[in-house]
Amino acid sequence: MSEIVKGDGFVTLIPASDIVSVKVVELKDEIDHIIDDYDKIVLDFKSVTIIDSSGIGVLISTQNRLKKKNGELKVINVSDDIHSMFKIMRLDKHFEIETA
Amino acid sequence: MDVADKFTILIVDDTMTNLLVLGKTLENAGYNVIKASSGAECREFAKEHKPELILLDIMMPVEDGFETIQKLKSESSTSCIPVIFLTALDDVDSKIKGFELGAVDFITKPFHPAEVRARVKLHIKLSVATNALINSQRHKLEQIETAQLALLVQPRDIPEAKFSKFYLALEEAGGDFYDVFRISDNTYGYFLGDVSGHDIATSFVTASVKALLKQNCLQIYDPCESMRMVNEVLCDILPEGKYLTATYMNLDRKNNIAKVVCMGHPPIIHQPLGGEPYAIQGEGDILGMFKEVLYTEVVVNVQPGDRFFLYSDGLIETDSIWSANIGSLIKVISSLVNVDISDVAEKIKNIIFFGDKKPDDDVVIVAVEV
Repeated sequence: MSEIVKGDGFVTLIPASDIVSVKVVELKDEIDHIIDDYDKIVLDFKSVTIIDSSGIGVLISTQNRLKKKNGELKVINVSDDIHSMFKIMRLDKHFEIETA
Repeated sequence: MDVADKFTILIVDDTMTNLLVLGKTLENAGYNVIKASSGAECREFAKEHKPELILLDIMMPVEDGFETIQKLKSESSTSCIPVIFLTALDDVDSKIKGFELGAVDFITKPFHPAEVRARVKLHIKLSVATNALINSQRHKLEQIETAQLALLVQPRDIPEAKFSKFYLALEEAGGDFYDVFRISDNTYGYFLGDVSGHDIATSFVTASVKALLKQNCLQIYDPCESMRMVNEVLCDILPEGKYLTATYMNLDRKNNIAKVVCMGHPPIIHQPLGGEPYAIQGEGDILGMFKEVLYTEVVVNVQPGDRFFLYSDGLIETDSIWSANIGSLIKVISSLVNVDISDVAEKIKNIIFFGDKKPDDDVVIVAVEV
């Protein structure tokens, strides 16, 4: 379950734990609920130490859906390990990523 | 044959009279009955006898029924056994809590033999139907696994491509795969991909990518062009959230040139004849997610005897993310320089996963010699 903080024109989702396959459906549902109302979604990774391939899939599909309506995804407080993996996958070229 | 004939019911109650009454009712209906008088005994018997159903009293000293069901559900060997709660409680909160903890039904004391028999029979039938469904799905997954293995080309099928492989899929619908194919007389393509997730959709992606490689990895295209075309189609056909990381090598043995493309995947290792292995660092987007992609081609001059290693992240992703472990893999490869190419892939796996160390993801290694 993510904490959801609504801001002015954007919304921040703070997942409570790692984003791995068993949690991915829940995160996807949470994003589905807010994506129509916001063009900018911020994912705060302060409690995320592991993300697996299905979790990355949700991030990218969220970015692709936001991009279609000129919106954007931003991922913040990313650990160094996850950041280095995102860079190898060139995800930093497709959405904004900030390290912790 | 009556549904009761072959099934075992475990009854758990701290009151001897209840055990006797319930036991007699179910034995008369033809069930095999086991009796336990505490939560601890229930868990012990459940593990030992694997009953088809458990009738569990809620109000018991030391360990109540709620605690027992939680422990049963958290133990893999007993988690699937349906539990019916026996309770004198008729309040809704207890029932809701029971259902939340995984109970399938309630029988309220005092017992009516006909009701007990009817509920037990119903849940045994449901359990049998569920198990049949699971077995049927397992059978389908096994068929998918067989089909996936059939898609993987074996070194003996194209000896000219001179490669060895190790392939381990942890689940029936594995996410990793490789392909080796002829592009022209002296040129072969070597592809290793990792599809996100482990589900049925993954196995269909494998088949699609294999077909796309065949269509697009042609002599007239350079490897980056081929991968761009494969990406273009995958973006249209993959389910939402699915993508691949991959590496691709086009090896021209006549002109002694290897062209390597990396798509968000651990780098190919090149081991020059007589030289130290190193990782070929290339930059490229993952496949199937972005329409606008960048792929770069790394061109390597080779000579006969050089080796290349393509592998999945499961090989080097142990305690940390894989990028931290490339150095260790290079050392392993370096130590196997005198091993015949046909044995190298298996040997790498044996060195990395020895003793109790087991892979926790799919593992694929493809070793190629020029």
